[in-house]
Amino acid sequence: MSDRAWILCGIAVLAALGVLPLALSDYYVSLATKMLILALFAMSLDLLLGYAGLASLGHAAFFGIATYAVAIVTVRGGLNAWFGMPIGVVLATLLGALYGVLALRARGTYFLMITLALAQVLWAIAFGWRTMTGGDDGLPNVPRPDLVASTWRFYYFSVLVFGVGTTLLVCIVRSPFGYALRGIRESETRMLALGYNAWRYKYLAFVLGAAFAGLSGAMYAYYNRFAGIGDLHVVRSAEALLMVILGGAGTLVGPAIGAALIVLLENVISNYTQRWLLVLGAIYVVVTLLAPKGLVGLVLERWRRSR
Amino acid sequence: MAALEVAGLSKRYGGVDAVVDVSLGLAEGQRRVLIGPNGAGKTTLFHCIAGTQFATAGSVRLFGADITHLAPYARARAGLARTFQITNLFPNLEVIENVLLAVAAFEKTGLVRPMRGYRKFYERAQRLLEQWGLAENPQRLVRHLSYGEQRQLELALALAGSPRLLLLDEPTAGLSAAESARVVAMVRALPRDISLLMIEHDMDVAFELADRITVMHQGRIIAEGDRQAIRADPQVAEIYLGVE
Repeated sequence: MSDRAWILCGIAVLAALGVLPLALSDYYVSLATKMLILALFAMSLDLLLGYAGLASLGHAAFFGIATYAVAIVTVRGGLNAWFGMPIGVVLATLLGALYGVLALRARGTYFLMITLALAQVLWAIAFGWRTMTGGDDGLPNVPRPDLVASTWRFYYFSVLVFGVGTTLLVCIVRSPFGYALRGIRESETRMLALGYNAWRYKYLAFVLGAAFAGLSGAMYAYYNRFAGIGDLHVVRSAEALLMVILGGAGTLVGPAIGAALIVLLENVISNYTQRWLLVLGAIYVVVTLLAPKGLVGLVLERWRRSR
Repeated sequence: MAALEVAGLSKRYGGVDAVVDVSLGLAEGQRRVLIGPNGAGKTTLFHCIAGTQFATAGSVRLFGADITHLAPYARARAGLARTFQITNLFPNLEVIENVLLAVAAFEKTGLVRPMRGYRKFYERAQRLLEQWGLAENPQRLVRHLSYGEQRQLELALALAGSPRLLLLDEPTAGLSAAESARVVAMVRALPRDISLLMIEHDMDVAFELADRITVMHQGRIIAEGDRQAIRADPQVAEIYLGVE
């Protein structure tokens, strides 16, 4: 598609998101808000998995540290809620800068294991440090910024953050940097032979992924009015991986769709059973068998073949 | 100044001596072909020159600069380009995207401006594709190209960064006679100021392209000379023909 077609699509999506609350009850507006926030989280992981080819099982670390940062500075520190988000994003970025150095020494499955281990370290700290984090009770009563406190207003705030985040991510993947990440995913040895310092590209992608995960994590703290141990848990990381794979890695729009579907499904299924993880596992198996390139991947393949 | 100067280079894997005390000098602009039976250490020597592996002992100098301990990307930036024995491209990217990556490798670029905004990258990529006969339908995915086209694309990528020394690892391996002839013609047509070191199994190709030939056997260099000298060398004949 041409640039103009993409921009028109983007405007159409934003317009649809803009009028959506008029047709929905407060409950579903709130659900749509959750979809937008987790879509941003899934897209931040797509930068790593879909573009740079780095499968991380610890992405919740950056999401969760921002969630806790927002909760701690507002609930424990008594700061105005607006301060939570920038502090959360900065902390997530710094953590990404540290974890990137450690994790990018490995590749493939080993990279996956190291990211998992690093995320678990943070989980254990949040679990053990009761006086600061509330342990497994979490930190309730996280305030939303006054201006966007109501369900509707917070929805529109989420649309704004989602729109800005998506625009930035789209720019990044379409820049020569984004092309280089795809090159590294396809053949790192060829990139090295061409003169690319592949490590630096992967590191920058890792830190950027952490920053966007932090942005969505901070929003999630406002959304839930709560920071809990689940926000750092490996299940949160695995869910994000599944969102990316279900929608189609390396497409950005795919993971956003994947996130919306998973949130919707979780919502429906929780009416019937507590065994959400079982369902998640089943979805994973079905997707890898029937649509290994995800839903958007299926469509793209069709479209390419028809040309 | 020598384009490439390998001095006393050895490479050992565990108990196996893949390359033993190899010294080799390549004058600027020279075309050198490296021949030798399977397991002679040619590709290992290539790895040590390109930086994909590091030598156990000895040194490698590129246009006078010591590159023995440099990472592969730093060697590329110093003017060295290579192709791989087994085709190494970006299979799920388009032909034009492959070339764009090669063209943009040494350029300063940002995070936000789209690739499409860099007109000169596209112009250079387009010129390279035309030069190497790949301009037809550049939106094809590379994995859909024929093997011969992929080998041509490998050469185009290697030359995109205007290298001063080019390493080719069996560029005609697995090609049909017609495809092989095309690649040989491409190599012949390279500007003479690009120095060339090339591994080749096909003797006809080797004798056609080489200014000088180096023969390796069991990790060592056993002969070096021009075509006549190598043809006449009894040791070379023995290795290749098994003459007692």
